[in-house]
Parts: sequence; structure tokens; C-alpha cells
Amino acid sequence: MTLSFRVNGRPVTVDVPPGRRLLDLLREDLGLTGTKEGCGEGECGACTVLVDGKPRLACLTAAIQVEGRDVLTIEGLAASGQLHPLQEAFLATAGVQCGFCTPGLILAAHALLAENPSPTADEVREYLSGNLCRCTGYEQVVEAVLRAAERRR
Amino acid sequence: MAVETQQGGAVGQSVRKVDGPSLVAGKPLFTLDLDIPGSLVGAILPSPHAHARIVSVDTSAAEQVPGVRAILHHGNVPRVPYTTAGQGWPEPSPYDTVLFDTKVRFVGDRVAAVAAETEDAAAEALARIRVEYELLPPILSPEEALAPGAPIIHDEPDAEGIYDASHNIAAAVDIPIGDAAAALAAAPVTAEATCEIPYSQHATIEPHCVIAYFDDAGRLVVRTSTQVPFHVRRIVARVVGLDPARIRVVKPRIGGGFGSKQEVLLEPVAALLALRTGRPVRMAYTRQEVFVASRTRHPMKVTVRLGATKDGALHALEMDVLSNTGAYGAHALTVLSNVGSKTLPLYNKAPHVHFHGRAVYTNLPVAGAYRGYGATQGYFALEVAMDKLAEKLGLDPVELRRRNYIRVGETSPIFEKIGEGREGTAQIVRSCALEECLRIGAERIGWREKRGQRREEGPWVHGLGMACAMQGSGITGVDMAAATLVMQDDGSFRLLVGATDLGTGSDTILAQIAAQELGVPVDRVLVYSSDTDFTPFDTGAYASSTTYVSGNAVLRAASDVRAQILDVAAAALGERASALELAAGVVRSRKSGKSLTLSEIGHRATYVTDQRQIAATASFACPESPPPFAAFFCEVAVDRETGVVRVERFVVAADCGVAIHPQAAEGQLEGAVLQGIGHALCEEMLFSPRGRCLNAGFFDYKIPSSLDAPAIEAILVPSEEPTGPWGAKSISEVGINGPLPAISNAIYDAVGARMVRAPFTPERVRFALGVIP
Amino acid sequence: MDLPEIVRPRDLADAVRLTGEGGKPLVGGTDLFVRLRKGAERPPFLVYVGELPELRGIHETEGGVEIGAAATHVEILSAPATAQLPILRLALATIGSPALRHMGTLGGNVVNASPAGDGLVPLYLLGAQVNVVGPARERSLPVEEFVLGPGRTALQPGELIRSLTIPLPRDGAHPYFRKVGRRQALLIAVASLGALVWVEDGAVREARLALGSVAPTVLRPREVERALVGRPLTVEALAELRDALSSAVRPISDLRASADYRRRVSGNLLLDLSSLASG
Repeated sequence: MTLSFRVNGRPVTVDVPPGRRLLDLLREDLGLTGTKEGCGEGECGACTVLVDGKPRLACLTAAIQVEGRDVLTIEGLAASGQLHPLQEAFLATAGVQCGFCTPGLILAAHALLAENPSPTADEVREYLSGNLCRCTGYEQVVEAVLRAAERRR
Repeated sequence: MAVETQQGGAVGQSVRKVDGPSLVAGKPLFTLDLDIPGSLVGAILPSPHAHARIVSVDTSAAEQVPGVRAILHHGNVPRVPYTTAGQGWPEPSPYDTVLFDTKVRFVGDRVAAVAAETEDAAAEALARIRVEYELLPPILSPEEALAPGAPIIHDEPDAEGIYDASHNIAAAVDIPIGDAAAALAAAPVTAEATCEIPYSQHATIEPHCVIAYFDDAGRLVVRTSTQVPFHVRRIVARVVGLDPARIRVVKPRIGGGFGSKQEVLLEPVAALLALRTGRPVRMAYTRQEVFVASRTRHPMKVTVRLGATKDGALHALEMDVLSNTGAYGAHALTVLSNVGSKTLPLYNKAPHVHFHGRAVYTNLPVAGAYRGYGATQGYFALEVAMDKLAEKLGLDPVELRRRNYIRVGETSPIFEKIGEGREGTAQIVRSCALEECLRIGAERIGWREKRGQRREEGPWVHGLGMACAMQGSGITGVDMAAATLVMQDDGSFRLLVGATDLGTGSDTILAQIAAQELGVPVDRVLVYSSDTDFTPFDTGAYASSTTYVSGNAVLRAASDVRAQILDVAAAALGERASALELAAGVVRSRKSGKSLTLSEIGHRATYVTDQRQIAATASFACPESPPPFAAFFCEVAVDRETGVVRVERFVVAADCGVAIHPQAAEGQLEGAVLQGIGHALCEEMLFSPRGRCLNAGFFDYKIPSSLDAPAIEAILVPSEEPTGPWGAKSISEVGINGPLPAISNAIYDAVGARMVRAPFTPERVRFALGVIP
Repeated sequence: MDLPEIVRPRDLADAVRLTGEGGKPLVGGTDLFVRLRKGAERPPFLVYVGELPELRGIHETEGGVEIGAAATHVEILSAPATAQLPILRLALATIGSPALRHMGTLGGNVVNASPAGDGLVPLYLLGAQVNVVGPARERSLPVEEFVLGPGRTALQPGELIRSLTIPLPRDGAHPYFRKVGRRQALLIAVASLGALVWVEDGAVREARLALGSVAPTVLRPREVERALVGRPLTVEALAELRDALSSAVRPISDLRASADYRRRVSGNLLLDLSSLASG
């Protein structure tokens, strides 16, 4: 099956088996390993990517579902080599411990700030509730998102 | 307490994590992010039965599946008893495991393994392996295991180190000090609590995974998500029968550990599949396999009896433990020992102490190391019992702790009596800021004003609870870490450590410790960690050891290098080294004011005069294990109608000595507290009557999300540990010990129900409340 | 791990034909992909109907709102037409996580027919109709008749849901929705209660209740609804009906909770309706 879509602003056309998961397409076919697999059943959020700006779980998305769409992965956030303000904020607040859930958290936060540029702490907690982190107590994660929101204003 | 920062000023600063920029950018840093061309996929056939003998394994149909390259099972793999525990040598856990046995001991036990060209081919092959089982009666609780005439789980003749296999007892400990029974009988006031912790999971977000491949010289490289690369090398070599010199273990970034990746699980299987096929092999547990086939916390029932004088001085402490180690005895003895050794010294004044425990086998998943390592289970019972005692004495629970906790300069006989599966080491406490932790914590939560008020809000009733805890910093007489520090010609440094950063930030912290001594910014110290070919030995990341043990090794290496730098500079400047000082990347003479940059010194030593490599390797063996201390306070709201418990606020004040990286230390505390809240409110693995795990996945085993996490206020209360690097001691584990008792005590304060069985689910709380009028 | 082959139909008629050939309709995939992974379902191929215009869109109709089967939860939550259905928004906002709400659909919730389906509770309260399209005809049936039991529906082979029609309730209804479980996010409720209550002069004039996770399907305890009429929304008045509600539910014990607890908590949740009096 030939599939055309955009990844991180770049058009790609790939030939994939017709039942390919988006997660495998990204990690294995396109080498974009920043998208992680933590559970494979939509419960951990480590594979969160943005499709047309909206958060989606790549483990529960078939490749065919992104045909003609715009996919943003963590690699696309700092494509210019300059870290995105959200990435900087996660570093500044120590919102990263092991870093495995971080790409998904940052992308979910990115979608949140696009919808709601000035979220409250509770709104951040609500929006990130599908992205499990086992290292932090979420305090430093929430702080990172609030900080990034503030910096953008 | 301010650290003397005449040099770099790196310590005490929350510098940017050295691996942070790559992590936030999603660079390929984790085990499976590496694409080794031509890799086969390895997969494991799990046992469907809790207890059975394997009569036969027929792989003929599986071998016909296109793409299958190797199948391993008991018939074609040499039998080498070992333990998966991933500990130092000699290993304190029993050798009761072989790679593929003729018997299975839990649902999910390893029966066979396959390597195939694709995931689908591997799955197909597993489905076609025909195994004939002879079913044996399963033992699904420690009580059944101890019952007379119970089936024997480990009846194999070649197991070593089992305490009493014929009675299913993997390990036992009995430490009497004084006469606790008599003292309890005579005590004016007593209190008792029996608390139970179920099977629970580390739930690292990255599942266990490994790639085994061959380098250009034909040596086996094992790239694995592990906490113990050097133990992996030693154990894999022995189990697969390969010269250790032919194995290199590399730990890249790892996606969380908390103890579960101390276990050596997939590595020997992947190594053997690679050796059999001559091809690279990648393996990863599915989330379901992580739940069932990796490791869990030891479920335990702990009874604590306290005897005190009328003014609240503890006179007798008794602790009785029944630990369920599951099908194999990984960490059975050491976790059991820690239930007492990390708890009882906190209240060191009692002359009569009795610690007694058994760890027994069952046909359930295997328990192992999990943050807290037994102390978590022990503190649940100890601190609930203390709450009961305070109530009986009519004493504020904070005040009861104050009257009994261990002070600087004091010791406890327990330190010497209980070690890691053997005798411990006598030590005195050299730093303790628990008094301040109690004061600050109580103040922040509003202890005086809010406790005992039972404030109501519709069906919700509020209550406050508290608990104290300590842990250790490394294992005395066991842990050893080494570091190599090299100065380059440009005056920058390479720091090579065997220490294993599992997300805690230890690479950064070790760089800070070196930078502080060398008087350079942290970014002048390039850290390379955890590669058995290139870094010196380290026992690994467990037992809260890295900052203290590895940190001391780094500090020694840095002092040595600093002295060498001053020597070179002294020769160059024609002055005595004692007249020189090193700061901000410059060596300056106090006498003449003359100076040299580190780059000038590096160039001189490398290329010009008296040429040499400025470098040092130093090691540190852990002579004592200074405890960090913490006080926990929380406010809960309990819905009397549904039994739902909401943690409204959680305050933890902890003394980790000097925090090398305060933000990272707070992150450790907050993360540990939230895992503890998960234990308290929702986490529990459930099993069918035939021993199958019913909630092996995040769908039905809920860990706290950002919505469940209360506001956690982590406060670092400084002390200075004289034996620690720059005054530091550990922080990674102590935080998990408080939430269970603190929340249980808060529920009691709110609604008068003592929750002694974790987790405190809405159902358990609701039923504990009885009928409401 | 690859999924079964996925085909993209040209139009609704094509989708019906492919479904008739054994294809399993796919929209969000949030439940289907999990079942496929577990091997709970092994369809020969999937029919991706998520982008068919006939299944999309949310618009007002005469006296109600029609929601396409492929409309996502987020689309429903943000559609102006659903502003008149606060109970629907309350319930949908508790589903899964933001990503799952961007992916999952109300149509999918109805097909899954889970007794714990959060999206079903408001549909029962509002008396929604399920509009089904099949090879022979289109038909429409109330959600209570469409859902037959856990995972079982009245859908015939070759049929798929086209849309849901939700009648607007009379003005003045107080909406209530709460689920009880071990966690907040991605929660599978051990019991949930949704309600629409009309109050006049301090007394209940009409009440509709729907409970999730306490019976093989979402349940409307109609006797209790009738008994509520005329009572004030006080804890005392509600407590008199607690036992009646507890005996109206037919819960099972599973790994999330015991039947006994579910029975008791159903009754107790009723007391929480007193919060509507103040709010």
C-alpha cells in the first residue's frame, strides 16, 4: 500500500503493508524512534504524536488513518536544531527524569498550548492525564508546561 | 547549610541534566532505538499453568514456520542453576532458577524461546510449540505454602541456598535483642498493627528490552535496559557458558527501573539465541509480560507490636514478617532482612527488639527488588502501630516520634545484627535533620489546626495523618564503585563511571561532584557511564547507592586529578603545589599571583614537558550506609458514601544531607511519594483461582496519572553527612516509605477506620466504615 | 505487530457492501485495536469508515441533535449543537484522555455496548435513537433496544451505525454525572450514575437516572425515577430511596469491585443528587 502524508513538515511517500501501525511506520520505516511504545494499548501515552495538530496515540492508529495528513513527532519540534520552548522548559524544571515518556508528554503539552495558551495547573493536569510518567510526581512536569506557556506570552 | 564553594560552585546547583537536551529532543538513546541490521526477533513461550511438570516439548511444527532460526527449551539448553536477582558476588539469593526447567512454577514462567526473522513468525512458532504438562496443585498464598503436607515448589536437587525447600521457605531471619516478649508483656502501654501489601508493580514506562549482537571482533555485545551492567556480564557469562572476556554489556539511557531492571531476565536468553544463530537478536517484554514475568514488590503481611512507658518511651519492638517471594527467591532474603534493618533503627531507644521473618515460595509471579526494598512494607505496619500507640498514650503522633527517633551520635544494635542477608555493620548516625523535617512538615500541612477536626464537605470528611521513615545509602560491605577521571589536552575532563543512571540524574550529579572539586563548570566534565568495556566497575544502581557510593569514588578520583594538575602547574610555575589554588578553570599562585589555565596545563602535560596523562581511577567501598530521613504529612478527604479517598495534599520533608542537585532530589522525592500513593490507593495485581494475573496491563492496573496526583510539596531539609561526597547521602528510596502509613493514619483521623490492607480501594474503605445511618 | 488489512470504501454503499463481506468497520480504533492485539477478535479485514462524509457531522434536527457515527468525542464536545445537551458533554468529558477523546467516537461506544460505557449513560438518559444502515434498509431503534448485553447489540451482519439522534430534553433539567473508581483519568468505573432532574418549588418534578457498570447494560431504574417525583433533593429524602436503587441494580463481581459494593454504592450515589439542590 502506498501512503502519502507529511511528517514534521516534510512530505513522505512510503510503501507499507496495509495493516501497518503508525507507531511501527514511524519507528521502523522512517527511523523516528523518539515516539515510544510503552504498552501498545493506548493506556500510557508514550506514543503520543500530533496529527493535524491533535494528539493521537500512534499505537492505536493505523498508517492509513494519516493518509494526506500532517504528523508531528518529537523530532519535528526542534527540527531547526533549536530546542522548542517546551523542551527548554522541561529541562529547566527537571520535568525529565528517565525521559521515556517525555516525547509524548511534550507533544500532548504542545497540543494543549495550541488549544489553550494560558492553561491553569488543573487544566494541564487534565490534559496530560493520558500520559503516564512513573518517575516524577508530575509536579515538575506541570511546572514545565506552565513555564512554557508563560514564556510564549 | 551552605557548602564551601571556593571551587566550582557546581554542587547545590540545579544544573541542566547532562543527557537532558538529547532526551527532550527524542534522540535514539534507548535500547531499542538502535537499529542493528539483520536483527532477529526473540520471543518467549510462557507457561499457562501455575505449577506443572513438563512431560515433553515438541518443536517440530514450530521449526517448519518460515523464518524461524532457533528454538530453545530445557532439552537443548544446559542446566545451570542461578539467580536472576542481579546482585554482587557471592550472591545472597538462592540459585533456584535455570534458563529452561522441566518444571514451571507460575503462570508466565519461561518454557521455551524462539528467534525468528519477524515478530509474526516468532509468534507463529510459539503457537506451534507443543508442550505436554503434568499438572501439579498450585500454591497461591504463603499460608498454603507453609501448611503441613503442602506440595514442594522447589524439589529440584540442584538448587542451592534455599533455607528450607521442603517447607517452601526460601529464606528466614530471626534476630532477638533482649527479651521483647517479656518486655511487651510488662509494658504499661502496648499497640499492635498487622498490615498487608499485595502484589504490585514497578511499572516502568519502558518495558524490559535488550539487543544482543556481535562486534567486529566477534565479541558478544549486550545492549540492555539494566540497572546492573557488570552483574549482567558476570551472570550471562556463567549461565550461557561464555568467557566473560567475550562479553561487553552496554547500558544506554533506560526508561525507568525502580529495582525491576536489577533483575537479569531477558539478557541470557537473547545472548543464547544470538550465539545459536550467529545473528543479532532483539527482545522486549510486552506490557503484559512485564507485569507477569518481570518482577514485583514482595507481598507481605507484617505485624508490629510496640511496648512503651506511659510517657511514650518505646521499650520493646517486635516485628514479624511473612513475605511472599513467588515462584523464585530473587531478593527473598535481602528484602526480608531490610524490612527490619531499615525500619527498627529509626526508634533505637528500645532495649528489647525482636525481628522475625520468613519468605516463602508460592506459584505466583516472582517478587524482586522494588524501591524501598522491604522498608516500605515494614514502615506501613510500624507507623500505623505508632499512630495507635500515640492514640493510646493520648500523645500527639509527632511528639511520640520525637521522643523516640535516633539522634546524631547514636546507634542501633540492628545496624550490626541485620545486613544484606548476613550480619550488618555497626555504625553511628552522623547526620540527622528529622527534628527539622517534623517541624517544617507539621507546619506546612497545618497539623495543629486541622488534625482531629473531621471537617465535612457534603459526604466528604477530611483528616490528617503522618509517618516517618529512613533508608540507607548503599549496602555496607557489599557495594563498591569506581570512577576514572581523565584530563584532556584542552583542560576539559572525561569522567568514566560504571554507575548506572536510570533516569535519576546520576550522570549529572557525578559530573557535579567532580566539577566541584576541579573548579570547572559542569559542562567541562563529559560523562560516559555503564559500559563494561570502557568504564570501571560499579555494583550498579540500587539500594540508594549512586550519589553516596559512586559519588565518593568520583570525588576521590577528582581529588587525585586535582593534585596532579597542581603538581604540573607547580613545576611549570616553579612554585610549591601547596601555594597554588584551582578555581574557575585557572591555577593561581597565592604567593606570586602567577597563573596557568587548565588548557595550558593540559597542553604542557600532554605535549611539552614531563609528558604524562593526567588521570586517576579511584574506588569506594561502602563502610557505612548513612540513612536519609523523612517526615510525611498528608490531608485526605474520604467520601463516606462511596469510600473514595482523595489525597488533597501531601507534604514530605526529607534530609538527604547536602542535595547535590536540589531539583533532581525533589524529583526523586515527589516520584517516590506518588508511587507510594499508588500503593496506598489503587495498585494491586489480582489473580484467578488458578494463579493467572487478571489485570496484567495499564487498562486494569492503574498507576496514578497527573489527575490523580495531589499537590506534592517536597522540602529538602539540609544536613551535612561527614562521610558523604560534599555532605550528601541518598534520596531515591526513602520517599516511598511514608505514603501508605500516612494515608492510612489520615483516613483514621477522618472517619475512624483503620485501613491495614493496601490498597485502600473505595470498596475496602466503604466496607470498613460499616453501615451509615 | 501488524494489523489485518485495512480497506478504504468509496462511499457509504461501498462500506455497507464491504461490511457485508465480513469486514469490521473501523473509525477511531481505540477499542478495536486493543481487542485485535489481544486476539479477542479476528476479522478478515477492516473497513476504514472514519472519513465517509455520511458518517461525519453533528447538526441540529427538528427537536434534537444528530451525531454522525464517526464524530469524535472532541468534535461532539465542541460542536455548538451539543451546547443544549450538557449531560452529554459532562459524560463525554470524562472519557479516556484528550488523545483518546480525539480518536474515539460515540458511535464506537454504542457498538461496544459496554455496561461501563461512559458515553452510553447520557444516551439512555436522553432516549437516543440509533440509526442503522444495512444492505437492505435503514432502520432506527432506541438505544435501550439496540444494546442487548455486554458487547452485544441488535446490529445484523452487514449493518453499521450511521448516526445517533438525540432528542433535546425539556428546559430546566439539572444534569449530574459521576463515576466511582480507583483513579481519575482513563477510569473504568466500578459504578457510575448519570441523572437529569427537573425541580419545581423545591421538589422533584421529573427525574431520569441511568447507572453504568452495575448491570449487563446501562440501566434506567424507572421505579426509583417515579418515586423521586415530589420529593425534595435532600440527603434525608434521597436516603429513603437508597435501598430501592440498590435492589434495582443487577451487578456482577469482577476484578474491579464486588457486586455487593456496587449495589451499595449505587444506592449511596443517589444521595449525591442532593448536590443539585444547591447547584
